[in-house]
Amino acid sequence: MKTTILIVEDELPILRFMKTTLQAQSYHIVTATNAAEAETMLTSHCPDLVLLDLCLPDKDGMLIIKNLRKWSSIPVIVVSARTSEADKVKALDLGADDYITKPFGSQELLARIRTALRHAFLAFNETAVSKCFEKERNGFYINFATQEVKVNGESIHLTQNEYKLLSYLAKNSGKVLTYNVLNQYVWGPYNKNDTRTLRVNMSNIRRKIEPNPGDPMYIYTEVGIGYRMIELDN
Amino acid sequence: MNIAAFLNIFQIQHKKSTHTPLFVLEILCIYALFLLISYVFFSMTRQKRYLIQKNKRKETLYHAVSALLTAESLDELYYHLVHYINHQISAPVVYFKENPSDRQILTNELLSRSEEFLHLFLTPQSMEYAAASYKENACHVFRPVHYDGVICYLPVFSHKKVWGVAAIYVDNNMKDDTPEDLIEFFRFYLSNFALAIERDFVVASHTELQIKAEKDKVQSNMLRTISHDLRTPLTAIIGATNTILEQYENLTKDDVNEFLTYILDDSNWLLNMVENLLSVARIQANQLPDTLSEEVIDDLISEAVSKFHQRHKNVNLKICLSEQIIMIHADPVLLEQVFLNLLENALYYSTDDMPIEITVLLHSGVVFVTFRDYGEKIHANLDHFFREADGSIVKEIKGIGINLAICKTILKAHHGFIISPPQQTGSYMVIALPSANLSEDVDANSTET
Repeated sequence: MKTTILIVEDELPILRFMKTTLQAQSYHIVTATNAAEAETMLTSHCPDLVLLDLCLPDKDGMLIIKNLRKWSSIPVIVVSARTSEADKVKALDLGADDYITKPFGSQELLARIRTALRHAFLAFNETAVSKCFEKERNGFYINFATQEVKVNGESIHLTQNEYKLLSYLAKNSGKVLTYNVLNQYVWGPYNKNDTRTLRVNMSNIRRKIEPNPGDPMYIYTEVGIGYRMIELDN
Repeated sequence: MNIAAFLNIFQIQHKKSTHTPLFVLEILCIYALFLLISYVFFSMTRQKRYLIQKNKRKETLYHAVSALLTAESLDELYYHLVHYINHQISAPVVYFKENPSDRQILTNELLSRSEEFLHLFLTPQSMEYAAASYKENACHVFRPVHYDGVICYLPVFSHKKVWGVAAIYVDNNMKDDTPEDLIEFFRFYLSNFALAIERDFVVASHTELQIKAEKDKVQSNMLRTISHDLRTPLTAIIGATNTILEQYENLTKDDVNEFLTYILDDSNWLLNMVENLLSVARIQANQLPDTLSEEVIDDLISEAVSKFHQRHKNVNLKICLSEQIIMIHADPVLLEQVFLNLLENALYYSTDDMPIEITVLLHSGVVFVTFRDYGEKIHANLDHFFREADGSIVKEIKGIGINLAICKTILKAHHGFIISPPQQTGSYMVIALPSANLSEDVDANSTET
């Protein structure tokens, strides 16, 4: 059975490009060009994933996310312009799973969709989650059971907080995690707005695991938003 | 001259001839003469005191007017009126800025402490007099009840404009001055004060006009340069697309791929230009202070490098970060744009053999980020590229001038700068930025695993 994706986009050329790209990957596509149509399609088609443009003509995309999250946890990827970091963070805090910045290439779009669908699958599949205690990619290896981290076969020594951060990013590999989410995960809810310690920790992690910290291959910075680890294989 | 002398003369006269009416008349005349001389003497003494006081006032006025001529700002002028003059003439002075109804009142600390006088100036009746003086450009006098003095409201006026109203309380029982003299002194001072305010206004207007003219010039040149930099890649895109559409049957697969690659490359270049424009707009809209946040320089460089790699996959980069973790106050999007611009410029001139090198180091509270390429030598003197206004040189080199101009603008807004020390080969760009607090205790909350 094909995965259904709802694309909510008012710019027709962009909508056409996304539809063509995704249909070529055997996704079943439904579309909406405004918020009202989107909400109808969500409730009637129950898609497996939503690609949502934040700048819709009739309603703020944030409201759609908020309303959707009252009854569904299907993955939402927001599509927005580069200069609105605050909007992306807000969307992620409201429940969006990831974002993509216009203009984007087809490979980037497909990668985001694959990641979001995989995490949605894992969220519902306890057996899959329980078997998934080690991951690796491109020389990076992590074992959640033994709390071991290796890069190119060499063991990496991390502090407790550094491991907590790295393992959280690895468990959510491919997905962006905002500063707030990471901060709260490690330091609790009262450190929400202080990202300095987080940044310093992330810098230290990078210097320990990246062969070239200035040109990272495992953990990417999404400036103004958070961090993202590359997609890891089980 | 006194009574003893008079008595001596009287005794002498008395001995010589007594009991004549002429004698009495003589005594009276001498007495009258005494009184006259005494009166003249006291008059002269008072006159002398008056002249000394007047000279003192003249000197005060001279110093006051000199200070007005050398004042560098409007605030300095106001300060002078309300503090210096008040102190010199020992009479409470209050200044109503522009329209008294707006209630922008300048007073000094002494007056504020003396609540009695302050309230006197601020009663509704007093405010009415001040407003009338402003509206009519005329002096008004208010005699407050229970006070043995008057408040004079004097408009500060020059060149058809009333700049404000000065109010002074004059006591009728002053020792050193007459009320009329004091008011005369104050009026003369105020006329010079008005001229000083007018001068400040003219200078400010002139400066504002100069700034506006300069901004317009910069904007116009920038627009010309940007227009050229946008048209160039668009021409290539349109050309390549048209060729594919019209000549598709005659083109080989390699030809088509080549044209499509041009289209993609130039589109990415256009995207960078759009980001540059948005950066400039962001700074011009003065959003910068709100968007500054504490960033780790590693994060900014690594994201710029990732984005750069997305556009240019096989470029050889060598990045040397500092051993310390360096924090800066920055708008992350703008600073990333600076790094991207410099990478694009370096790529345009670099060769395949040698990498583009990025180095970060911290020295004496300043973060230095350097970009070095070993390619074709650019113009030895890069200063003219840094001129934000001059678009004339930029035409020859694809976008490099505008890239650097925008880098300079962004860095300036971050209290940093960029320089380009000349090299034997290639180019060397050095960015300097103030660092935020250096983090010594890397993870205060952590424990070892």
